[in-house]
Amino acid sequence: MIDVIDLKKNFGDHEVLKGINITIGKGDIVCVIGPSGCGKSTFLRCLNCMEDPSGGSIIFGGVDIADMKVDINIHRRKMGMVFQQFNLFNNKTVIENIMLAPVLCALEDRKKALRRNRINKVKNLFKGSKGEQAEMEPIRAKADIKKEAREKAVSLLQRIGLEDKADVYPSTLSGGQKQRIAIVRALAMNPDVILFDEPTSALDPEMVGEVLDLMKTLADDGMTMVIVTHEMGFAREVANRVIFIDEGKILEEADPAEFFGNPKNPRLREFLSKVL
Amino acid sequence: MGNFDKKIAKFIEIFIDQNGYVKVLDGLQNTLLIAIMGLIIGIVIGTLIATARVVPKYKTLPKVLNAICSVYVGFFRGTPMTVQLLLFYYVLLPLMGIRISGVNVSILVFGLNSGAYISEIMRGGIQSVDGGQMEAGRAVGLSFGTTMMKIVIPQAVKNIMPTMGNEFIALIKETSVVSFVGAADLYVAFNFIGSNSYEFMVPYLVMAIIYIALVMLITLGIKLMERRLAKSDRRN
Repeated sequence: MIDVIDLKKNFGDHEVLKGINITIGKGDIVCVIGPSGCGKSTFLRCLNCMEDPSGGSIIFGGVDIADMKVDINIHRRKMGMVFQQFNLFNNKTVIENIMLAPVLCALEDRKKALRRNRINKVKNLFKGSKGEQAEMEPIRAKADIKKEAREKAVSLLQRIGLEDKADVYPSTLSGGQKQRIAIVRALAMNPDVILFDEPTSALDPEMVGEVLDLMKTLADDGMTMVIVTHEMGFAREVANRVIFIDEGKILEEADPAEFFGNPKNPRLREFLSKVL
Repeated sequence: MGNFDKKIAKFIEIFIDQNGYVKVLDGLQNTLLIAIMGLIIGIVIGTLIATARVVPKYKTLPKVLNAICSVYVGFFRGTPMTVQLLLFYYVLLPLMGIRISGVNVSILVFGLNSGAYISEIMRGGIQSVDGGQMEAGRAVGLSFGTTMMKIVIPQAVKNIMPTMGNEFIALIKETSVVSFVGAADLYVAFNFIGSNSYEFMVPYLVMAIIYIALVMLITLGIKLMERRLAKSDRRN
């Protein structure tokens, strides 16, 4: 689903990623592990071009999204992202947070379809009755778009048991609740893959569990996920592949049993001995 | 102070009997018109400039826009309002062959001037919003502009409300220089009353009171607006 080929990233003269190659298939749950400053967050942020890669390519849905010419916004709709600091929209209520992007994107698509229809209408006029008439695209009513998004948002909130929080602002929520809402906000776009950037690192210890549980249910549903994490237990239990990044390179890539049970790379062995 | 009563009587005589109040109302209207229209134009220009100045600058167009905005802000912050009024009224507009009234020139100049100040206020406001908000918006596939309009600017506006109040108050008070280009504001009205009675003490006192009342009203309005905007901060 995502093919990363020789991905490089520099910040000025500082080379953070020195050529990363990895293929992430559908349904894969990839955990990314490494010491701080090793480039694992940068790697994740390059996947949806939050940081523009300095070199290499990222093939997603058959398109190289590392190319600056592609419209990245279209592709980002299919790549959810969950942040360490939750980043819920502070000026929107919980349900607005979830509905915002689906509604705006649908409205944008509607506008484009209307424009295409207008062009086709003019073309049809010129063709007259002889030529083949271009087909008109169906246009959804704005109210329908909003209603559908709201229904979806409510069902997502029910899934995480926070439907009673639909109309409050994020400032009133606990960290765990915020992060779970951030996850369903990503889900609301029906993404093909969700990128998690240390989703539990800013949480109180007692709230880590609820967020990891939600991520587990996503994994059980077959969602493709790339997770930068320090939760070794979670990685061992849920991931089907674990990769170790240090100094901008993937040093080890294995299934969790092999990765934690029989690490080959000396750097990884040293790292694991410190954190486990 | 013995003849203060006489002075008041004289003022009232001109104010009411010789239709001085019509001039004052006209002046008040012009003052408010210039300040409010100036503020509205300023907010539009200021928001556009502020947005242009926070766009990531690795392409040519944002760089050029940024340079133009710098020159604009530099000019309008670097010269006094009076000078700008005179420049526009007696130099720029005549050179361009445009003739408009003093009030309209004032609205234009006040709009352009406050646009320069508001752009800096707005830029500060935008930069005070956590960068994660923009990232989150971009990550769900919204464009830079949409995220700016729907997420960042609403939060920035909330942060800059007190400063914007200051700006509006400053605008109201600065309208007292528009008589330089022949616009009839409060100062012109009270000056008229004063010169008709050869007595300036009471008219200027009343003028000061009107300005204070205006500013107090605005302060109240800003306070109410801030309270409304703060609803996403409150626990409910």
